[in-house]
This record gives sequence, C-alpha cells and structure tokens, in this order.
Amino acid sequence: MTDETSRPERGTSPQDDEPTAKERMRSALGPEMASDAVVAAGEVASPPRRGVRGKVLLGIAVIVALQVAGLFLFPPFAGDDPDGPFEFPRDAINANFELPAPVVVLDLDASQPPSDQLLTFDLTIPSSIFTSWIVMLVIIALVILLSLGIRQVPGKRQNALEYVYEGLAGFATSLGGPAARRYVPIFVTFFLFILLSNWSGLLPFVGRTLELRAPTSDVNVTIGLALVAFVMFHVEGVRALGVRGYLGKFFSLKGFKEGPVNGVIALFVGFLEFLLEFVKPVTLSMRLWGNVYAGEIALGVISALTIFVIPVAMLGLEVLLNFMQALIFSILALMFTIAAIERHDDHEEHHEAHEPEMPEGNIEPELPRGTVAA
Amino acid sequence: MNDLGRAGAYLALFSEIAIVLLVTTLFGVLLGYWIDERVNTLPIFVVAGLLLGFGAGGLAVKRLITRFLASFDRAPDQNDRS
Repeated sequence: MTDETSRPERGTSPQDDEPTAKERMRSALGPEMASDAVVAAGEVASPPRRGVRGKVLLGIAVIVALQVAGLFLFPPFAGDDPDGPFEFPRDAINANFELPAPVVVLDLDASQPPSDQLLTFDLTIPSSIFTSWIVMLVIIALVILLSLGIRQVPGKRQNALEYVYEGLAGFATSLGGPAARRYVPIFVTFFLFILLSNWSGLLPFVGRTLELRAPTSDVNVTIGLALVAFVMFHVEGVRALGVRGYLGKFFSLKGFKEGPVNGVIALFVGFLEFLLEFVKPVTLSMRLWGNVYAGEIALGVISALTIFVIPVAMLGLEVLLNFMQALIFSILALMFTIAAIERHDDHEEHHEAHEPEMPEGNIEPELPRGTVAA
Repeated sequence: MNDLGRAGAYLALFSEIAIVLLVTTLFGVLLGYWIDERVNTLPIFVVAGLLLGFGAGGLAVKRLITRFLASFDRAPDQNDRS
C-alpha cells in the first residue's frame, strides 16, 4: 500500500492531505471547465436560500396585509355595545373575549328565546354550526375538485389528494396495526374536519363577524364530535366481539376461578373500567375545546394590543398547535376504537408476550392504484 | 411512522394521561362532596371520592400506557418488516 492510498494518521485532518474538490475537478477537467463545474456543483449542493427567504417574507407580508384588511373590513367592536364608540385598548381586549355561548344565526323555534347558556339543546343554528357547514362544504368541494378525472397515471391534483390521504392512512395503520385499516376513512375525516375547523378561527373575519365562529371553539361542537367517536368505538366493539364478548371485557367472571376474593376484586376493577369509558368523551371534547378556545383568545388579545408584528409569530404557533390538536383527537379516537375491538385476553397475551401477531409484508392500506376516497 | 406522527402519538398519550387523572379525581371529589352535603358528613366522602377518583385515574392511566405503548413499539417493527 502506497502513501497516497493509505488513510491519514490519527490526529491529522483529512482535509490537509486530500486534494480539495476544486483541485480534483481541475485535474480532471482542466482549469477552464473546472471552475464552471465547481460553481454548478455548489449551486446543486446548496440551493439558493434567497428563494426560500423571499417566500417566507412574502407569506408574512400576505398575513400582515390580511390582518390590515381584516381590521378595516371587519373592525373590532365592543362586546357589550356593538354600536357604541370603540375605545382602545379596553374594547380591543374585550372584543376578543368571545362569549362561550355561540351567537344564534337562525332560530328554528321562535316561540322560545334563544338560550345564552354554555351547553344548550335549543332548536337553533348557532354561528359555530353555520361555520362548520362552511368547513364541510370546503372539504367536499376540495375533494371533488381534486378528484375530478381520476386516471391510472395521476396528475398533479390527483397526486396532491392521494399524497394527503395515503400519508394519513399510512400513519393510521402504522399506529393501530392492520386492524386500523377499516377505520382509516373516519380517522382522515376527523382529522381534516377538525384541522380546517381549528384553522378557520385564524382567519381575520372569523370571530369578528357574529355569524362566523371557529366550530371547535364552541364546546357544543367538540362534545358532539366526542360523542360521535364514543358511539363509534362502542358500536365497533360490540360488532367485533358481540354484546356478551364486549361486556365480558368489563364484567369478567374468570377471576372467581382463583377464589371469591379475586373474583370480587376483578368485578370491581371491571366496573371501574366500565365507568372510565364515560370519561373518554369528556377528555376528548374538553381538551380540543380548551386548546382552540384559549388559543383564539390569546391570539386575539395579542393581535389587538400589538398590531401586526408579534401576531404573525403567534399565528405560526397557533397553526402548529391546532394541527397537533386535530392529530391528537384523531389518534385517540382511532386508538380507543382499536382498544374496543381487541379482546381482553388478546390484550393480556400481547402484553405478556410483548410480541405482536403481525402479518409479514406491507402494512400500508391496500388502495387501488388511481383511486381516492372522498 | 414519521417523526411528526410519532411526536403527535406521544403527545396524545401524555395529554390523555394528564386529563384523565384530572377528570377522574375531580369527578370523585365532586361526587363525594355531593354525597357529603346530602348526609351531612363532610369531609368523609370527599376524601373517599378523592382516593377513589385518583385510583380510578391511575387504573385508566395504566391501561392507556400499556395499550398505547404496545402499539407505538409495534410501529417500528412493522415498518422494518415492510
């Protein structure tokens, strides 16, 4: 082995002994071509940052412009007296403390005055329900538009839709295993609806017009979503295991085989587990509502006090937090459903052996090429 | 599962742990307070409700952790096999 091919000794820098990229290029291509090649290689290796920076600055400028436009088009009003004079900063802060009870847009039962309670069962269409219909329309329209003219070889629009759906589907199945494949559509639906509902509250005109309010900032909507999830995982549990099998997960008599005391303890623990099932919709709804509502208030107050600059950073933070909240709700709904369809014995065996029974091969959902689920 | 997805999954687990403990303990205390007011035995049932609520929360957390972590641990294995 010659000195040229041997590795550099410990303690010496390889850069000291080896020729630089420019020198190697020069020896291979000659002095004129080498300089061009080095410049080209450098540009490929490190793409210009100017373009990215320009896009970020443009995004910030658009957000600021939207905020300014929102301020003039939908000026904040004093919550207690919408027609009275606007006093800064008192009214600017108060205007952002939305009442927990949503504003009634359409009263279907005119014989009774609309309730101003936080939790209501009135026959009314409040601002949050009205906005949630708009969010649903946006999702449906987007999916229809992107899925128009589906082909075997997808175009850009179809690719975008498939990327979103297959990404979420792959994530759900990697989390819940093959059993989660069946629940991918509901997982994606929960995620997209909650995500757009959360993000709708960040638009300048939502919240400043009485008829529009982010759906998930209303506790009635989040309770409704949680109840849908609650019904789903129990119905699926009964469907998968049967009524007897499903109730047997909670009220098992197998403990009596090990003595009456063990049996009674097992029944008591099962009863507690049964009661804990009813905690799930409470935690699901309160977490989502609390995070979105508090985020909106914090963003609104900071926007009102520090016009334009700081809210942009806060807006970025809220975009991420709202994304995470949508993801958390969907993940928990999925995992609770997977837990509901799992046999109690299976779970214990899984836990003891710690070796899951998974099929070999691809775990991605089997989607026919060129198709998307709406 | 990518990094963001894994972070979301762990965030879901940890936030659920916190809120389950809070809700069950609060529910136990409120139930105990309601019983105490009825039978005029304050604070016996409040303390009992606190302990029962916290115990039930602990049980729920144990179930959550065992089930969720088993799923999360399973995910990398599945990805390796695929």
